[in-house]
Amino acid sequence: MGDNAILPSTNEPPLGPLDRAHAVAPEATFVLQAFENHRQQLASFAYGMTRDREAADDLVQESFLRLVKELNAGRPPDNVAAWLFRVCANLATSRGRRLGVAQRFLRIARSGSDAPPADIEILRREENTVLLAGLATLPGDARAALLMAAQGFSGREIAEAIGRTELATRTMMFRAREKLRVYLVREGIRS
Amino acid sequence: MIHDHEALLLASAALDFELEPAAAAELRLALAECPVCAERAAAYKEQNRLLQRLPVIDVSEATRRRVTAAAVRGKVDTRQPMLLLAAALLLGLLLSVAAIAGGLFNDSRPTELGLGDETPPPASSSPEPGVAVGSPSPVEPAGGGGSAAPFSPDSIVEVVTGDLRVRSQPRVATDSTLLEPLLQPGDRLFVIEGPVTANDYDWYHVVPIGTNDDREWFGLPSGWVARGDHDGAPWVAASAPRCPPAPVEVATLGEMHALEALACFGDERLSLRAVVQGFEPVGPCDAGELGGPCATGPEWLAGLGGWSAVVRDDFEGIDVPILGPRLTIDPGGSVRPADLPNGRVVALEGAFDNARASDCRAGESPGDQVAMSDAEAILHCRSWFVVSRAVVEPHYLASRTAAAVATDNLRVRSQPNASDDSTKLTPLLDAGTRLWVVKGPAVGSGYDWYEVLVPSVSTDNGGMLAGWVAVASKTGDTWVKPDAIDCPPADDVTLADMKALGSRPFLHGGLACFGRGTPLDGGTLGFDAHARLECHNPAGSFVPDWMTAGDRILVLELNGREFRAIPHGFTILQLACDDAFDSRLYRVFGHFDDPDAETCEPGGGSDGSTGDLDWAVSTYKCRSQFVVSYLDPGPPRPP
Repeated sequence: MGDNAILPSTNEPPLGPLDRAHAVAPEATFVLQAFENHRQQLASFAYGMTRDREAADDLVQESFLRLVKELNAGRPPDNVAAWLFRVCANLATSRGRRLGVAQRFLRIARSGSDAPPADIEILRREENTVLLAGLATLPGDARAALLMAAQGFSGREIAEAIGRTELATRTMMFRAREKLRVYLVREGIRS
Repeated sequence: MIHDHEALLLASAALDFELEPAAAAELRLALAECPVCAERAAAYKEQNRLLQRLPVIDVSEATRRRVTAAAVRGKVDTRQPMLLLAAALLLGLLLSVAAIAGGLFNDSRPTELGLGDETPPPASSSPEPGVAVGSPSPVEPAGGGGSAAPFSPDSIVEVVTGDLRVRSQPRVATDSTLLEPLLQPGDRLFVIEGPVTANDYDWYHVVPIGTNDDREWFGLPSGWVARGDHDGAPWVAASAPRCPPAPVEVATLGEMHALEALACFGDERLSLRAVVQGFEPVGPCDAGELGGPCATGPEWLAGLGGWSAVVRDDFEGIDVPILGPRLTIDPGGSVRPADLPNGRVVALEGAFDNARASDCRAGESPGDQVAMSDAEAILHCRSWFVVSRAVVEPHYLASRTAAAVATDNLRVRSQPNASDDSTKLTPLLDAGTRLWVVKGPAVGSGYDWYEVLVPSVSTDNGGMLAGWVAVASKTGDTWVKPDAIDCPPADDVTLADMKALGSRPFLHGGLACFGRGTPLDGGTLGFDAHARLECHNPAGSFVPDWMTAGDRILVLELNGREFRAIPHGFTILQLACDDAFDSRLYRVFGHFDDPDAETCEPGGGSDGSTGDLDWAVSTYKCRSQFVVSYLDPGPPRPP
């Protein structure tokens, strides 16, 4: 009997990522399941943090690669969604620090004049643009907290993700909301 | 009835937290009686709705591919050699299973599907176009097929032909599975055992440990490769292990594959200085629950977890510190778990390749996974660094404390080592220079390092000097010591005390005396002073915008001395802007090290101003501010 006998029939459907992962290791299944469940949520969050589509993509990628790393180190997170958001928020904050304030503003100014990709066209709606600009005026932690809240995370999860006490998180989110409210009123979004 | 401000805070909190019934009732009442509060509370809800309506963004195809590949292949770049070893072994085995299952890689070439499997170990007896079979080995002139001296177990070999096949068994037969992917020139392999002669080939059991820079090696299969073709042309050739010069540093070991270290050092006794990072040990076949086959044998050698030797104690961030070898201790020896405290610098002596590793055997594998072979189980156990002596070194400094330079001409560097990559910052520090310790310790170049801020020294761009300093000579002379700041009693401070704490050549007097981690732990201080509110300071120039009144400063005065503080919350409402000092003598309540100081951003927040980009510096400046939370007005007095 040759190797053909132990190789798959060519008519057999190719394995999807989850099936393939199952054939390899439970960690892979875990990561791919998390990727399917949370990637859009995380990408939207990262976009809200950065206002930069490519940067958001990079942040999501790096967050999941770090999840692979964590699993290989035998440290599976208890709450994978909260863990991913925390890592993504930290990465976004670190990225912001690296870029520096001036660079961030250069980037924003430039993106305003460039022709946007078609799939970002919807973001041209004034409301979203102003909202994102308002978010950008907030400190990184506060920005992350409001975006996580909008994604349905509880206050406790948000506090855990940004490494603060619940009390401090309440205060921070209140200040952030108040500041964002003032910004939106000034920009005529809501009275 | 709660105040409007508290009502708004509760209204915001109610969106994210479950309020206590009493608080919820108070909120309802407050919103009913305060139309403005109700309007703002509605605005917060509306904000949430607006944020929820932001367009959903999806990731790019490239990200999807990369994450999928990393998940399936278990690729990591953590520089954790033991995990890499274990994962390489496991993945090699798992890839074998996947190949048997037949679905993992569907790009088999026609020649590999031929009946009878006469395919020689490279993908084809005719190499792929453009690949020179039998190209001269860069490291071994002798031919391949058995004419040269056999490779030794524990040696390193390098692939010198294209598309070299790895098989699950040392033979060309139907029970010897073709593993994927094929090996390529430059792939480096650790020899576990061999040769086994079959089908007129000399076969070696190998584990991939690296490759060229332009190729990812992780995920290459472990298994059996033939040394060369029937005519003696080599497919793999001996290669010297890439051993670091003595003395060995943990950072160097961290950059090496565990098997490369095993090839270099064998059971040689090594001395290392490392920060120990503790993990919960995992029993031998509990490892299988983590997703792969496992080894049995002495639990302290066959399991996972335990400790790691790392370069630095950097638990605050999410970045993985550089990891050296995984450490274990022989319970029958003299070293005890308490000798390896978490986060401390420890002088370690020990060796890889413990003799008890020969007792390790393959354990049962979970599910449909192929078991580890006995040889691989033994290798797994041999790769632990078994600590035979551990001396915990002095803990020179604690993170987030004050320190002072104890020698002249102390160098600050950009990295915690003395390599060329670690920039020498200027100026050199004189004895007595006050420092704020951000984090540490780290080990490098034979020294213990701490990251510090030097508030009395500015860099060329006007920022605060920050970097790493070695805290002692190799002979133990102290270069940096804890700073003994003369703190006033917390229950009896005066404005003069506060003024004195803030008038030194550093900012952290109050932080060091009364911040978090001190006996007062960031709690409230009280003292008497006259007060006035100074408004319209440039936002971000003195305080960041995490305060609601970032452009306002509370000026406190007593007996001609002035002390500037940050007004917080209702303090602002108690005084009118820019009035002169009034006649009241207030009891001032406030604290250093406000928890929200952690949100301080460089340059005063996101106002677009440039400034000090160092986050640690920004946080330090904010934490050092005295935040006034309440002014208790006393009776009016004549001015």
